[in-house]
Amino acid sequence: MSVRNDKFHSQLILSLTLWTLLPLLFNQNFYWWGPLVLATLSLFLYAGMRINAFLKIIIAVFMLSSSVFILNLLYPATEQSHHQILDLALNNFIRLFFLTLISVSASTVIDLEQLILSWASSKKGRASWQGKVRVAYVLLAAINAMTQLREESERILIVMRFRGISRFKRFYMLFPLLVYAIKYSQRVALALIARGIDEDKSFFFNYIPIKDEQIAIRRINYFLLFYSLGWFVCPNTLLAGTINLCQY
Amino acid sequence: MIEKCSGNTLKEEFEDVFDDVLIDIGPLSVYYPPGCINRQVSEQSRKKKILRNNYLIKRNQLVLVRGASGSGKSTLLSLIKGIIPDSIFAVIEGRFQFVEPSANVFCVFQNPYSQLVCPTVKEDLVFTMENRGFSQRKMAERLTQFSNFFNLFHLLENKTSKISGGECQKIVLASSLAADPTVLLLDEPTAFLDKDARDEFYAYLAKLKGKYTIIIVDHHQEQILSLADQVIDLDVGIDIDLGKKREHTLVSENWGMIRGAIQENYCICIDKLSFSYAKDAKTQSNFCLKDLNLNIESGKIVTILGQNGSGKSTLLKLISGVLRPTAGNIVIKQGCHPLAPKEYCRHICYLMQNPESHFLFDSIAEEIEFNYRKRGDRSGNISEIFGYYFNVDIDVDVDLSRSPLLLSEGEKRRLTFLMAVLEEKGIMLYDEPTFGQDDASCKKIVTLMKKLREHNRLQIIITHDEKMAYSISDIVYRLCQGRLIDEC
Repeated sequence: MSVRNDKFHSQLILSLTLWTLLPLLFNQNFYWWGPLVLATLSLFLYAGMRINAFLKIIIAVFMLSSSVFILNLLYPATEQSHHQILDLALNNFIRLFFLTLISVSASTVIDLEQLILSWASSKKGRASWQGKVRVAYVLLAAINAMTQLREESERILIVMRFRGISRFKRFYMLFPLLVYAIKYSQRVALALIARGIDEDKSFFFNYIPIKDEQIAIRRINYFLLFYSLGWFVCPNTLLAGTINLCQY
Repeated sequence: MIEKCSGNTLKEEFEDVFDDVLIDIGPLSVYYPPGCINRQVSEQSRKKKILRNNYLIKRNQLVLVRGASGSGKSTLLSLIKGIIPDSIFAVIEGRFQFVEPSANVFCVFQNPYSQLVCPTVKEDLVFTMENRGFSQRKMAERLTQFSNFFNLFHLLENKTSKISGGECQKIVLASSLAADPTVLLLDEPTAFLDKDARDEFYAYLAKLKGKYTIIIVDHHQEQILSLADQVIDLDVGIDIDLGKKREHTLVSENWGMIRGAIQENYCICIDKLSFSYAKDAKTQSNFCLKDLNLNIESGKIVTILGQNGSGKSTLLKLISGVLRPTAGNIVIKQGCHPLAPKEYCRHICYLMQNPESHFLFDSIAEEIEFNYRKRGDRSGNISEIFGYYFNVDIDVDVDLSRSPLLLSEGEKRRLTFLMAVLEEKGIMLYDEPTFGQDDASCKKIVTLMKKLREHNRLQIIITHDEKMAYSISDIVYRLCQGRLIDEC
């Protein structure tokens, strides 16, 4: 039985994101990674990223990248010409902009819970590593805890206001919040024990990607591996790296 | 570590008579040795006797565990589940034998929010069944059966992080029952449920009776006593080292503590109040509160009843100024002068549902002292103040240097009550004030509220406890589909 109706499995989106980030990190040639970035962003939009959210991310990322661009212009290496400085600053700006844009956009379409559950339910490694299911559910509880922590921090702020603690001292809310986080983790751990968590548990829903997605993920992962090795052998260009690897 | 104080257990002595005995418990005391949990406990290092008599719990019995809050009911359930001493280290002295250690024991704890681990409601409902390795078909059948019974169908696709406390409790209960447990331990399962859901739960419990071994801690004894096959009475917190009975001192009947009446009259006027959590709500169908009108004056107790998720807590947040109305007005007057919303917190005391959120300091003494000295005209040693107000020798009965978070749930609630009283504000808002309280503590809280009414306080209570509501309130309203209905 399937639990989610997403267009793509989060594992596939994660692999695609890494596939896009890698050339961005290692290659300066815009013509190589530009189309890849655009294709990935279109895929994110198709996978359900909202236009409004996308525009907000663009603005935030632009501001961050601009600050790096200005810093590069203000504090250049001493022996560089003006032309070189501008070139370098622009290059860094563009790469940082797209790097951050892809990463943040991916976080809006990747379902972390789906990723964790697909990892937990896959039979690979379950026999050799006995703590896999426990670790997965603790991670899920940690994701759930974010909402709880936000609500608790709101409650603590209300209490501080009503108890007459001045705004300047509200920084101290961090301590009760920390205590709450510890208490919460203890309660969740006990709840997992109380509800009989078991490493050999079955899964009612199917979290594992469908067969086509699995093939795609495998191919992307092979490509990532070859690309990384190629860059390691000959870091100048992606193509040279891949050719080198093939020759090797 | 379990030490048996007598040679043979009752089960061993009467093997042929007690064939269907599942748990054999005798006089029992729990001791947290130095170094475990935290320093404050280790310094205290008291042995707490939780049971005096022998009890045999037979298969498929429904057993009620009762005792004052803080007497060790939750500790006993943790012991049966094996959490103590496996996960929380403690030395247990006395007789305890679980005849079938491999039995499926599931436990539903008091605090519902931290028991859900899966992202969606339907995943959480099958979680316990998955742990038992049920087949897909069986899980599908039981998912339908139990979501139907607990009326959870409309929630199945919801995120678990976005549901109310009562709904959380229902989900954990349904999930545990669906997994076909041998022993089901329920620690105040109805604490967050409204009256209808509670009645439904007891009706279901009656159906389950005889099918499973159920050990339940519940303060609604009128309903549960008729169902129980056996009642386990816990000692009222006997400290062995001191050999002295510990009484509930956090809310005492020494009402000399309330220093005089509030002179100013307060008035809350609510006029056509509507509220929606959706920012772009335009139609009335999106509103959780619709066209509410209410006038309350000092010296009155007003209680608001309603089902889980009906908007009761939202109404309190609106009155306290935490939320702003979408439409309509809330005016709070001190005498003839309306207060600005930013002044509300100086005149209102707001007791939220979760008592732990109220604690900001390391010890009970600091919590009390902060609220006590805030008025500026007070001096004296906090031990003396506490002793004076509660007429007890605090060195013996209450360790004020202890963290408030180490108190039991009921004690935490009573401590927040005391803190609120010491602030001496004119308006008091309570969200579930008697949650987790035994009958004796409930009576004390009710007495305190009555005294506060005599001292001209304006009090608004939100509760599921209808008995308490009708016993002390001047006006009782029921919040139903966003509207207030006058009950009396």
